Amino acid sequence: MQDALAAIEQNYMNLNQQLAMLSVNCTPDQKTALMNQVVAARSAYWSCVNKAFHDDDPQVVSLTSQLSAANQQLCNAVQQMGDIAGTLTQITQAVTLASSLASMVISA
Amino acid sequence: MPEAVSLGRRLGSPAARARCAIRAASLLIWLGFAVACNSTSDAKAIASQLAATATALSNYYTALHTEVVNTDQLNDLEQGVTGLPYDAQVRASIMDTAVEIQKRADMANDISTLAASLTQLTTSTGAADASTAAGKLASSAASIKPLAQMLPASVTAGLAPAAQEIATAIQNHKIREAAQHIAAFLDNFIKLYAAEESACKTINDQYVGISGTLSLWFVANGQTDPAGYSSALAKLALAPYGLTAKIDAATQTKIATTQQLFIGQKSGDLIAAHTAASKAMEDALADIAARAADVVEAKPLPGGVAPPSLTTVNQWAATISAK
Repeated sequence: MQDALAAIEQNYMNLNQQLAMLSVNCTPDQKTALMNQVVAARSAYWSCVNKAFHDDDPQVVSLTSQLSAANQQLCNAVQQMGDIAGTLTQITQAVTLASSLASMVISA
Repeated sequence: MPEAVSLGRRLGSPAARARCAIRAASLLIWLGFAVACNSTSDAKAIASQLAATATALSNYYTALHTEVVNTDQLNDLEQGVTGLPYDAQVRASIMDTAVEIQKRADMANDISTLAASLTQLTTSTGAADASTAAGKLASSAASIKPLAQMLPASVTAGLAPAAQEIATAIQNHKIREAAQHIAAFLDNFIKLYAAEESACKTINDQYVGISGTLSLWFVANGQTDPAGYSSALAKLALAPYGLTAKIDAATQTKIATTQQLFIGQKSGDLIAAHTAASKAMEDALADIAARAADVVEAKPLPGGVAPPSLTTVNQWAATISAK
């Protein structure tokens, strides 16, 4: 699969699949923040499906690499579920990367 | 009596002579196609294979389209049950994707119609029908925009002109040229298909993901029918012995705890089924493209070699479309 799209997909799907479990440990404000991040992740994903990336663009390559790493860290953080505030920060960082990468998509 | 006059009298009216001329021209076209394919049976076999491949391709894209449209509805459902907002911009992106997938299903249908028309070239309207079908294919191909991948612009840009060349060549009874343009079209299309495999995979993955996530929500919140699920499972054990399940509430609840495992396993199966279907479709396209190229080069078709099976594709498509 195209790396950039795969990383953005993984970001969205992981968050969507973990939403219910993460929500259990959230305050109402945290839950709102969490949902906003899932919405942003989904928006990033769908803004890329029908578009194209310049895979050889160094910025795309760099953001893809950073996002893949952030996705992995997020998986670990969610599994450990130690600190929901810290997890939310990691989620926000990962989704920000996904949105930045999605903004580099080009019109087909 | 001069031969021409004799022939004219035997043909009767001008309309009858025109019909005869059309039939003769159509026969020449078919003979040309057959010559290009070395034999009439080769020509029919190739056209039939192309029609079957294109039908499977249409089924594949139609199922994918169903997944995208269902995703839109699942997002509505998710908003209802979990409160996750579903904004208009994402909905528009999803529906744009659905439209683009539908274009591919339509184009595959047009390929199938063209292929079927090639088997009917000897009828009075055969050449006209084939030319019209190729023209329609050119029109549908012109609207295609690539999904998420980088492709040389020449690939998508080459589809419509190749299809238009097929129409023109058939109109001009230049069948070897038509075969060349069919091969060129397929060559371009297979590149498009291969380049879009990742986009199609992600569409299937996210559909399976969101439907699985929502199913888990329903299970976790006691919103599924334990009686139906436990009865269906118990039937697997009881049916061979002619027995019918009558399960009490406590046992239903015990059995229902396996629903989450079932959803996880089924999600994996759905992703694997799409991967297999996608690969089978690619193999079938590669095979028909290779055979079309052989026709152009007047190579003999491999005797006794069956084309790749399309069963995996059609079964996956039927599974999705039936939902």
